[in-house]
Amino acid sequence: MTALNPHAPTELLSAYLDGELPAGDGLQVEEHLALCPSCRAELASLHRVIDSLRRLERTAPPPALAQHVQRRIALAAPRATALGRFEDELARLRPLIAIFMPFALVVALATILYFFASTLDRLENRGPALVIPTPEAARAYREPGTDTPERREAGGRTFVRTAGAWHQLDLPPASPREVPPGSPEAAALLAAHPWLGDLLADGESVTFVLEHEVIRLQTGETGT
Amino acid sequence: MMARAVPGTAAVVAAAAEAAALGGKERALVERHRYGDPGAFEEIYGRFSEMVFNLALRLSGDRDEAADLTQEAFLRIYRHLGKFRGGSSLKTWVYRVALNHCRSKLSRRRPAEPLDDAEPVDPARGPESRALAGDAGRRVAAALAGLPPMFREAVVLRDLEGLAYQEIADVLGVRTGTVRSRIARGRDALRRLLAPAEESAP
Repeated sequence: MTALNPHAPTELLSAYLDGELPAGDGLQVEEHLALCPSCRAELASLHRVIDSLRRLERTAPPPALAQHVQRRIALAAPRATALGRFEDELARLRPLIAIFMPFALVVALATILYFFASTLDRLENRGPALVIPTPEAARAYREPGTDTPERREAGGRTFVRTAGAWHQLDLPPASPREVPPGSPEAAALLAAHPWLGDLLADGESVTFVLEHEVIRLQTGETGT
Repeated sequence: MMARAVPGTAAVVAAAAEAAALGGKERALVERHRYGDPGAFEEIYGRFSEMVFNLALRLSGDRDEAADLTQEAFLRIYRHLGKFRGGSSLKTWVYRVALNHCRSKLSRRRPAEPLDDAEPVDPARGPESRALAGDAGRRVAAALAGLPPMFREAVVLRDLEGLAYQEIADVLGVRTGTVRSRIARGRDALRRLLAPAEESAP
């Protein structure tokens, strides 16, 4: 049939016997068969194989099989219905899942990478481990460049130190009356309330409420 | 020209009408099953059980195994019938479900048997073979059972079940060119397996 193979390939003869060749190929095979005894013999042997297969008996299924199938279906029916519905639903959503799954994966991957990178960044930029052995050391640690104001209880009040100045918590919204440093009033206050001296030892001024009045007392010229 | 075209056109129209009617019947059957009519599945079993059983018998080579496979295949058909959308004929779909079930079960139950020309064919292979009438039938059934599954499936669907190449392609999920090749190679292998018997025959 070709320059290299003068005979018809078995595949062509087999399809020819089935009537499954395009008209042109079928005609070509017929022309070749008319001239080639070898291919005619091959065609005949293929025909015998097909014939012997077709002569194999067809067998009826065992009569009890129908009942067995019915019984199995009856047992599986409730589950089959629920399962079938679930599978139908899954099959319906499958195209959508196929479309959105890559995007979801990319977003998930990006999120994981972001958290991983930010954690690494935090770990790298973190200061030394925080060890505070004494309140003094804690104060020294907090003081420079931290936003956390220091709190201290004194004279039954709570004070907060910001920018070196002590302020009583919950001061009424009134301008404090300045007590001149080194004045007799300042000396009297320091004598009556020793905790003011303690606070001024660690700060530049103390603003506090005394007998419903807001008072500001400064250090330096107080002589403390 | 018109006179010659009319019978052809009429034949096509008739065939299309018949196909549509058949498709309509199948759709109606499936719809009845979807709405829970047990009679619909009984009808499907009655229509296809012999076909599925013989397919299972030829693929497994054993009658009892074929009965089990048929039973399980119909259970699967029952479960998945609601998914049948009419893309192919119901017959092709049933064949596909049954064949896939046979494949998965048989591949687990025993390893694939390689085709070996030097290996003698055992004529007494399995109860199914013994049940066949005559030595020739036994030899052919045994030779068929000795084919690699890929060729056996194609030959069974063509020569025993009588499906067209396109239908076989739909069942197997391959191109018709592949079907043509598998059938030819399967037949060629069978011819070589059966050759000594043919030569010794009077």
